[in-house]
Amino acid sequence: MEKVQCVVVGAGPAGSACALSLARKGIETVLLERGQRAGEKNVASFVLLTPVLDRLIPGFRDEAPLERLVSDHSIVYLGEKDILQLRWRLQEHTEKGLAYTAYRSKFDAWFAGKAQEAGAELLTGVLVTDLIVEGGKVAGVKIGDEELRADVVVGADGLHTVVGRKAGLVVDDIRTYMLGVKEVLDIPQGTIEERFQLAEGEGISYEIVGYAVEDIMGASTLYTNKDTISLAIFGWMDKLRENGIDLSGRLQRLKEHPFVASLVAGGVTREYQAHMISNGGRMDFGKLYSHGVLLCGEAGGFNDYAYIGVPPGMLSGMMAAETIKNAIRMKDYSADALSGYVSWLEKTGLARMLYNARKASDYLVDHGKANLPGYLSHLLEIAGNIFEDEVTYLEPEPYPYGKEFYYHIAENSVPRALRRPIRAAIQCASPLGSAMRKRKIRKAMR
Amino acid sequence: MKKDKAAIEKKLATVKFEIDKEAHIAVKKELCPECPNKPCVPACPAGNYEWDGIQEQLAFNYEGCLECGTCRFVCPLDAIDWSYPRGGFGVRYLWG
Repeated sequence: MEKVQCVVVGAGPAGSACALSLARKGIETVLLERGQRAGEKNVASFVLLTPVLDRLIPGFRDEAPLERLVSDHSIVYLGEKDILQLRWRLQEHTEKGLAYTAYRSKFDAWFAGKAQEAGAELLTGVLVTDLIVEGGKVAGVKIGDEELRADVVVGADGLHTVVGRKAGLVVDDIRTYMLGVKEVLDIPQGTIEERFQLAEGEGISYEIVGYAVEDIMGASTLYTNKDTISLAIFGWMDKLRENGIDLSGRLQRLKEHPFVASLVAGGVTREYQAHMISNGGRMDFGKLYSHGVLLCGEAGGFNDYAYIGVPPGMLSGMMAAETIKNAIRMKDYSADALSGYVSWLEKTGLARMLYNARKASDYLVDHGKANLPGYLSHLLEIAGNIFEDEVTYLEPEPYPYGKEFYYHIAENSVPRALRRPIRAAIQCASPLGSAMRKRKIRKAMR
Repeated sequence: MKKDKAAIEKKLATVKFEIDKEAHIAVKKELCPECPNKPCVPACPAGNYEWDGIQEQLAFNYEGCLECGTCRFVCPLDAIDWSYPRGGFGVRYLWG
């Protein structure tokens, strides 16, 4: 029976970062990947931020399969008719090369290759189905009927982690899970640059809230690759469960919104994808390790609240490698020895980032899902009213939205039977209301 | 809202699969008639679950599974046992 020092399960960014760091420290490492190629099971949800990668492979910009350097970012609130858009130039990001778009299928394969170059052994097409547990300690992994023994097992096998579940470390909280559904759309390179007003090789990313998923507090992302646009829509798992939401249909609706339609015009679907993500660092620091096992990346919940999981995943892999190096030196693989993982995480800013992400995600989970769509549409209404007034104040009706406001109250805060009479009363009394408002305004403006 | 089957079929045609003869999804179908809203049917982005109202039975196929794993979390009766397909099988994203 084969035995190695360390088995890393999953050749995504976290697993490969861990295997790369281990191999560089001269630790005998086997990296297992269930896909035929690393990356083919993965789906990017957004932009790839690079500071952590920069530390691991300083020359990555010249060799990694990157698509575009993200020079601009945009946040859009998309209403039925109204659009509120902010766009800014990421000056520092552009100068230093801090954000790129990339296909995970290509990037992960390259990154796993770097771990291989450093000396880790990569085995693909291998699914870990169970753990070998001896005397309460994880002693390796089972691959169907075969066994691979190791001093330490690292679970970097994603949200559906087999390692984490079999080790009893994962407690699912579906309120923090999201489904993402994405389409990659073919658009010629030059058209992208012209349409989005970008310099050659530069790209833009959009975060879109509102339209198509407003009722479930979902969100969407859009970003440019070399000759495609990725458009993804996200919805919370608890909402999908309660309401039976069809996100692929919602994505179609989003694509047909005039704003989005103009951005993706002429785009032919190159590939359709779906993937789940977790949100907001919702892990228990006491449950990232146990006897002979550590979790990193999405398996451990290393994800912020805005679809950014690659850098925290990589950093967790690096810190897991530091922990394992110490454990090997002490020849102690107990949970106690591996608890140093948390101290390593605290040495970086990752613990703070995860804490902040959890605070934000708590807010979303507890309040935002119910209230935020209301605030946003209210904000948009105010902005919309200003512009409407600008073009309509020449007309005789002085308060075009006042009546609507009272109708709204009548419709929503009284018993059904009273609605019609109240509506009629408002209709009659509107000249009076108008007069009262006129008086109020005159007084206020004096 | 009714799921647009034809549109999903068209989208799925863009995805590459290595189809296994072994299923990686198992459903305790006897529980399904009791399920109030059957969220797996709309929620599956590949449209792999279908409710046959006449036969009172859930039909599913695992071949077109995009491996998001949504079904294992949306099922209110925990009747869906979804796991990763065997090594090397399942979806193969080229542009993920």
